[in-house]
Amino acid sequence: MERRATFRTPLLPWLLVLPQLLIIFVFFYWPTGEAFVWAFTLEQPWGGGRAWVGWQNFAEIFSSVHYWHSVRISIVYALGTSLLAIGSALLLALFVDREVKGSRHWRIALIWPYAIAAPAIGMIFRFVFDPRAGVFSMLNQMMPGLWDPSLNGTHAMLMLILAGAWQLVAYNFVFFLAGLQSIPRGLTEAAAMDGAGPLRRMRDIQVPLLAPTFFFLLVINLTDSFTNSFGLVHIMTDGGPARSTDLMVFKIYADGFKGLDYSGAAAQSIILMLLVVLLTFVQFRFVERKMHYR
Amino acid sequence: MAAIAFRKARKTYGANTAIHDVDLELPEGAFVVILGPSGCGKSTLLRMIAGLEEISGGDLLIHGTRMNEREPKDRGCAMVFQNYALYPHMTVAENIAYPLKVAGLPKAERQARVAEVAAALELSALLERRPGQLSGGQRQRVAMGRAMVRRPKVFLYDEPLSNLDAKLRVQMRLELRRLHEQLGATSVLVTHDQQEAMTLADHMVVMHAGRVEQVGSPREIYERPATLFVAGFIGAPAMNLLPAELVQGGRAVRIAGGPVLPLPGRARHGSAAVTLGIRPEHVQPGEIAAQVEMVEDLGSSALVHARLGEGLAMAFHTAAEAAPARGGRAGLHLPAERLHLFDPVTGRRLALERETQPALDYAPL
Repeated sequence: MERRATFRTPLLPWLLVLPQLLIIFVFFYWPTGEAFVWAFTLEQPWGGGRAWVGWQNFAEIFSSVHYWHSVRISIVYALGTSLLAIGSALLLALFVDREVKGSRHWRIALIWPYAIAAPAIGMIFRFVFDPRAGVFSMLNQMMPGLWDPSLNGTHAMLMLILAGAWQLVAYNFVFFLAGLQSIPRGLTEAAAMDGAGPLRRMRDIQVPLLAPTFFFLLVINLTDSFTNSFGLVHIMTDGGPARSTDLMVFKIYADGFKGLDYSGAAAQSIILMLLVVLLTFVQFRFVERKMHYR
Repeated sequence: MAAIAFRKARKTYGANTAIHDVDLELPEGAFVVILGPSGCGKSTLLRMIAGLEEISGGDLLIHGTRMNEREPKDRGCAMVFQNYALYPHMTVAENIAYPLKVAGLPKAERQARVAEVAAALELSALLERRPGQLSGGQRQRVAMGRAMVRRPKVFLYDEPLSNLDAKLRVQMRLELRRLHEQLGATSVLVTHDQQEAMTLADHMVVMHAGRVEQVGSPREIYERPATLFVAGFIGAPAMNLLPAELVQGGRAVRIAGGPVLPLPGRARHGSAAVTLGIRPEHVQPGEIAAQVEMVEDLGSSALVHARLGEGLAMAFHTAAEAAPARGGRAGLHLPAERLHLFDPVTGRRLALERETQPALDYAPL
């Protein structure tokens, strides 16, 4: 089907897309272009002149122990958050799909967390996980020193992963529920006739048929964990203790705006951007094409 | 013993009743066809047997055991769904083997059983394919295979042929019948296609609006429809139904404003008003005048649409060469043995008392 609008003047279509283009240009292409320039120059902290340094910024980053540490924990955070969020969302969606009592209301309640901004979530979880005043302080009452994310890096990372996953669950849930509801009812009924109980049906029929949704969400969640974790880190741990939650996206901010190393931060953001581009490429190239039955 | 029996079985959805107190016995080893228009509750009834719909009231017995609360897998039934419901992520072999896998059969035995079923259904060459790579007829056979592999006592078919094209449907119909003979199990098939029902069934159940209208062999139902609904539903083109009244003490019937026809027996009915039925294929040339409105040439015969004296519509078959011209006149004869009488209020068939002793006519009052 031909879906082309015809305009009387060639100028009109350009005028129509101009506002959108302008916004994208000002808030994306321009800063990205600027970051590219900065990544290959040495920018003075207080402005006024730059020196071309070629790949030197990148060389410095790649030889930095701290940077590689940041990459490692970012991967841990991304995988942990994504898998936890996907797993819990799948479980919740399976329950709701089975029309568990009250699922109509749960469905709406389960979607809401996605609408909450990361800093707000971070704030809430800071209270929840606070070793002295939060819900988790109970652990310390039972065995002092059992839980302290402000001193223990593993605890801090765990706390971030839980908060990050909580935020993503709602998004994943919507997709899984839609996926489950698009599985023809006849298939689960056929499996029931074939002798499979509810759990067996989930394992053999529903979950395998959700594979496309699963891979789609994995890529989206990984991307999201790499880029959107800043709000949580900033509010909850500030990268600490002892750089244990110094995720890539937070390190860019810390190096750039606290350490005033604009060029290094720009180079790091270019690397992060390439990583996201790669994930998006994987998403379009492999996931979208290959993971469809029929 | 009946393979499947319903005792006052009912299905309600909130305030709506889909199945009204059905009493039904389906004989063991028979090919039973449940026939009815869409929305009559026939699929619901089948799904009640399968265990996919809860039974709201009454009992379901399978081979004498009450099954109302049993899980589908414990009822000994296998089902073929309308859209086949093949698992798209499994190969043909995996699809067929799935019930056995769930049942925990060892792999070697599974493979042997799958091979056996595949051979019977001519699927051996397709075992490694996915359902998406199969044609409609092949998918149908895979669904059959998945049902057969468990060797169930009862096969349930929910409109299994409705997704196939006309030619394939006829072919699969024969195949279903052949498999039924081979397997010796009880088959219950739901359809809205009366031709399919007539050709497949040993035992036919006609349903309408959640009730069973008539049960019997296809021939019985064709020859002696129990209700007006069945009379109008079975047979294509449909039976002619005309308002009429009983005369001569129920020994004859008069078509409204038209001729008087003798009956082969005596109809006893509270009021004189009846509905007279005759199938288009049973109308013969004769003395009753009719105005021809339209002629449909069907090749081997012609279907003539005509109007009797007072404008009552009447369709009838004639030989193609003998068909009257449009707008012309035709003479019809309605053989007494082929007439059906119904109560126009209740819709029930009126029985005729056979007067085997004609002497009775002369008996003194």
